[in-house]
Amino acid sequence: MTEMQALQEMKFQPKDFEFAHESQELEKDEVMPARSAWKDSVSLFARNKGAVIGIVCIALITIFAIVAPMLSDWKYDAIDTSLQNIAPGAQHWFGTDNYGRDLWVRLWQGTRISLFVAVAAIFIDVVIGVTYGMISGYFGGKVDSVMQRIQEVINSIPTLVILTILLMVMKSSLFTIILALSFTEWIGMSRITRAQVLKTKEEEFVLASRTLGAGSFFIIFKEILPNIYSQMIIMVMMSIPNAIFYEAYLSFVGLGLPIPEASLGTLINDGFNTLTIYPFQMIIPVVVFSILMLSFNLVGDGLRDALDPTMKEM
Amino acid sequence: MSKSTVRYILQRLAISLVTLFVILVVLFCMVRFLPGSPINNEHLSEAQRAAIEASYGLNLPLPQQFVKYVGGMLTGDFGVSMNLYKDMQVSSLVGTAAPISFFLGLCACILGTIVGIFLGVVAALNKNTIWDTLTTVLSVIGVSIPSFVFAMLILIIFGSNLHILPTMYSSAQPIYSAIMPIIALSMSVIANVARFTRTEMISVLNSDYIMLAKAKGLSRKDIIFKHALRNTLIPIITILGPILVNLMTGTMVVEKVCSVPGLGKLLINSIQASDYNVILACAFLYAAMYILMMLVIDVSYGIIDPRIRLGKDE
Repeated sequence: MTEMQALQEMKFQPKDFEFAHESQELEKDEVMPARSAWKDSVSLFARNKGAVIGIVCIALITIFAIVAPMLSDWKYDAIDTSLQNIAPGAQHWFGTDNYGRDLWVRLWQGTRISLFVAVAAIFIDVVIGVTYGMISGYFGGKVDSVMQRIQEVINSIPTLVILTILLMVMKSSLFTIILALSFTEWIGMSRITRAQVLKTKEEEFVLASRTLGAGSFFIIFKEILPNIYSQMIIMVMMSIPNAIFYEAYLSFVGLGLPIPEASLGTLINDGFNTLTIYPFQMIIPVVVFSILMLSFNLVGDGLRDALDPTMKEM
Repeated sequence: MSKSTVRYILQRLAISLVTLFVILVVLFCMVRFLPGSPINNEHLSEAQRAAIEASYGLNLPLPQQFVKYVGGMLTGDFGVSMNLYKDMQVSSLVGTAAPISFFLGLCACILGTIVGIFLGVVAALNKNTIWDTLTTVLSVIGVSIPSFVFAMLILIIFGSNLHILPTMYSSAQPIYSAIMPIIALSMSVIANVARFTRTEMISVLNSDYIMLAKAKGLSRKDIIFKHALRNTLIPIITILGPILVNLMTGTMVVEKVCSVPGLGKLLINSIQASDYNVILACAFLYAAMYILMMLVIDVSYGIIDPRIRLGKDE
């Protein structure tokens, strides 16, 4: 019955009766010019509006973080009680805090530290994680299963608990924060590396290299490593906002950098204490922090689409 | 459930128990290395201090303390608070704090999932329209901006400016004062779920069986609700793991912003007071929940989607 009704209700349109191949046009076959994989990726990346905006924002914020504290007359740790809690104005662009410190300088000094902490921590992560993942994936067998068990145990302690307790034991300073952050983040990196190594080491070109008498060292560094660069770059871009976030979290919990140092996290935390009276003291660092996080995520997404379209969303 | 599934679950349980024990040992040692002592009243003489330490059993050698602690733990005795809440049972402290955190996390998870699925479906059905773009923008923002920033924004706008929501958590009005932290926490859930649902739904809508359903002349409503949505929902379980972990991190910070007397706040306070037993219990509870969540999620993958093989085949 329903078919009958559907047939009756079906409306025909004039274009339903056109010949399918009537409008055949003459086309000229064009051979696409050969392009390298990198060029391809760059053009794919450049077409992604969000990613381009993200990278511009990151570049701007980085430049400000490096240059702004040097160009200003104020110092980030100069306490002057006669200048307490001034609202943003011509003298102090972003106002001053409770101790009369200029917030424009403190903001960029803090951004500088936050970026430095994140980049340094991720650098250590990459070194540890990639080495661990390489060894585990390449040698396989017993080595692999022992290394995987160790990793499983470390991985099942929540990051926050490790971070909190590590920093309580080792008195927080720039160095210990970087150390604690890299201690928790390397696992993701080693997992990706291991998975890629497992995939790559069965490929023909590795077999060819081995047949020609290449040693493990050569194969790892000359054959496998160049083939997993793109995944590593994506991973790094995705990890940096994580590190920035955890640094802010630590400051927020009271385990951040000791005063008078500034980071985005400590600035937000200081501002939070006076939130209801002087909202600008918190809103400005939060805005910079959010833009930074957003930009890194956008760039990370863009890189993933450009470098490795098959990679699943994480 | 097949034999191999049961074996896999048992194996995972065993590993989890070992991991928990390792975590307990590590936590126990680290807590004892904390700078400062729980007995930090300046008016106490050396002899009085020693007497108090002896009464808490802190003068015993570390292994003996540990055995005593584990022995107590197995009978449900987590010791007493030494500093923060003088001589109160840790189990009752945690017992009042943990349900609040659970409640917040659970509500945020449910609310976020429902809203996220709705947004994702709307975006997928109206692909490349303004709704789709809005959802994408919203989910990128939600993914990259941490929940404590949202909590602060809501606090400023609805708390101190519009006076709609309370700025402080009050245990007299648990539901009313939970609104703010729940909304703040659910933002990241909404973002993740919406993004994932959109991708899944689009791929489902392009699949052959939807085309068949259309060819059979099913109504749009039937196609969406009976065929597409069901198959979209199953994979969402796979992203609940990372989402729940995120929520756990989120609650710790959001609890501070909204001054909720939950587990995170208890942990942070006890760390600052080096209250050994409270730190241990909170951190251990976090770790145990984390491990349990991972276990449940891993096992549920296999049960929901039989294509995923758990463990090794016989």
